[in-house]
Amino acid sequence: MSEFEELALKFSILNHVPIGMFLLRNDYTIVFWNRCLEDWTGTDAKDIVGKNLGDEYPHFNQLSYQSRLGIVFDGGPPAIFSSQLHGSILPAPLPDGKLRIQHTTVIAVPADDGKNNYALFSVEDVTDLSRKITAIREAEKANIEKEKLAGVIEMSAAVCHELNQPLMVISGLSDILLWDMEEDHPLYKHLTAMQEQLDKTGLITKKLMNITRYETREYTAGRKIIDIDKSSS
Amino acid sequence: MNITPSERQLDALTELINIGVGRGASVLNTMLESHIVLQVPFLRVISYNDLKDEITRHGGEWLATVEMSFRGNFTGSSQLIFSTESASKLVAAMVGEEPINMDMDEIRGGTLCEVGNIVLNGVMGSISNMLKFDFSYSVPNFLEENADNLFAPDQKKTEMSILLARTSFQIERLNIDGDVILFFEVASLKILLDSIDTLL
Repeated sequence: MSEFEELALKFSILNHVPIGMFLLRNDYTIVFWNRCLEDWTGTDAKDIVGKNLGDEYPHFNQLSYQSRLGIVFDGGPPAIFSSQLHGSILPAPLPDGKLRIQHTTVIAVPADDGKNNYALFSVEDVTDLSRKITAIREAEKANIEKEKLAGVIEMSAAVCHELNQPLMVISGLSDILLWDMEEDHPLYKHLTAMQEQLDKTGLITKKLMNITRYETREYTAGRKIIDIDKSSS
Repeated sequence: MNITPSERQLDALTELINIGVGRGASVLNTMLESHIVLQVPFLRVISYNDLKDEITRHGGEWLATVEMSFRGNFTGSSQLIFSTESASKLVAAMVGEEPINMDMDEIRGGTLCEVGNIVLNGVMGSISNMLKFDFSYSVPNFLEENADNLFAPDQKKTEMSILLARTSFQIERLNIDGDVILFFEVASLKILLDSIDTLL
């Protein structure tokens, strides 16, 4: 019986678990591939056992995988490859064409020679969980944006309300002062400049009253402030 | 019976754990877009009864922890503990998420479990390699728990020696503190310290 046949028999119970599992020799040869992985990847055990993992899935040749798998082959602690950092460690398409999102744990399994270790990969499909959490996060994010917008609208309406009254008084008084003032009067240009600024302030309050979106822009020292132009309709 | 390590033993242990978290950082840096630096500013032996106060001193009552048990030359467990808020910030910074919506969920928990796995593997690898120990390990698990429950009175743990190594994660503009905790049976700490003596 060949090594692969012996291992297929020894680990045959793993064909009945709903988790993708495969066994890797320390030279990166795949020596066992369970039925769940056959179903997920569409690759039969007979077609992949005996092949090099790095040839079949080249990302495993990266240092970030090799250094951690090396520890497992040395009999060290398990290695975890999380879904958020690794996505689909063994690309396996779903009926909708998207890839299964996977969380993988790799443990050392002593070989029969008593010297070496195999690396046993357990690949969990966490697609449903990831999608649900992503949907919850997006809903929460939308809710936060909505709450922020409501806060901004309430604040800007209050600011406009409080500003409009003194603005109207200042505007009215400057109109009265300018009523009979000759253009060569020393205060004339100051008063007209003041009125221009009052008009600008009036435009800003109008924009504040028309805020419908929450948009920010960079300010000083890494801070962000509301972008009034982009936020108002 | 309490065992108090000498200053030299503590220095050597701190160095050993610094080497371990340094290895963890170099692995993390091969995986992440953000550069991360890990340091252990101090290490202490404390009692289980003081552990909760020490851990919660710099953070909230809710804690995110990754635990990995080991057995071999001696038995115990290693844990990496953060306040939930720090854990969420760390995960967000590592995966390039906006630091909003900071709840820990199963997905972020899985990411933290991987980070903890890498750091704890570095520490345990450093101890086992330098001191020629053989350990077998359990699969690390992630737990989010209230400090009162996590450090509830436990006769077995009260009798254990606890090594607490404060670990500083510097990533981008963030500086996040976590704690690496090693629980040992008292006899195990003696074995560890005796082995340290052979190195000195």
